[in-house]
Amino acid sequence: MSAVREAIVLPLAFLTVTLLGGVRIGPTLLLVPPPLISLVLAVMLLSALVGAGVFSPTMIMSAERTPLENISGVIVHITL
Amino acid sequence: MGTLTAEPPAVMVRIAGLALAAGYATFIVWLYSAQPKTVAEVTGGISSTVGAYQIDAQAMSDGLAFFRRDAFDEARFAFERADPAHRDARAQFYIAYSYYRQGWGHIYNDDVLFRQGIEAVDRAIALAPDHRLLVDDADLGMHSADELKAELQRGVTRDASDLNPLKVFRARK
Repeated sequence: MSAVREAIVLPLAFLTVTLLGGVRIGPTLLLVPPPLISLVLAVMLLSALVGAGVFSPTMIMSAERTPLENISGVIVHITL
Repeated sequence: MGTLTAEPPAVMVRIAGLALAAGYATFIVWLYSAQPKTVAEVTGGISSTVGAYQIDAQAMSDGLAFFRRDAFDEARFAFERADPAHRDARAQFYIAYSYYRQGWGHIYNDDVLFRQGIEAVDRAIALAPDHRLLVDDADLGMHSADELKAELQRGVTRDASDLNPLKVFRARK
């Protein structure tokens, strides 16, 4: 994975989903924080993705990578 | 064969990505906490966070002139022009005071206007340093946001004192 994709594209894409996920369009535009259950479901989804091999945490965080690369990996994990 | 364009150094890209992600995340957290209703509130909120927000002095002066002539709708239009992002405590105080004066009555008060006044004075209190706002204006009967808020809340509260006939003789502040 290139540095641009890992450090810039993925975090900004995930954060944009976070921003737009709370938008409620009605008489006025509202930003509604996610309920607690959505966080629980997000953790379950992440576990399923890792278990199915769709997402491999060691690809972006491992002892073979430099500290700066691992920090980028942490950012991707957090924004995901 | 070499590439025509060189990839930017990975270290610079990662540092830039870290800064972008941190800034974007901070912006999102601020959006969810501040809940701005208009683009002016978004830009005003961001500029006030860095200390760069300034109200329109001419519009504020126009608003005060209208306010003193009891032209309250016109005054509020001018105050809105002066402080479109609702970030100036003094402007919000005068907006609240205009609702009070316009809604005040000898026999009864206009509850709708008084409730809008309460919203405005709450904004003023939230914006003031230490949530304490004092306005030195000889034309006003109340000089603090706390007094104004208490008067507005008394105006929308129904109790036995509303039946006191002597209330007709009270004066608008």
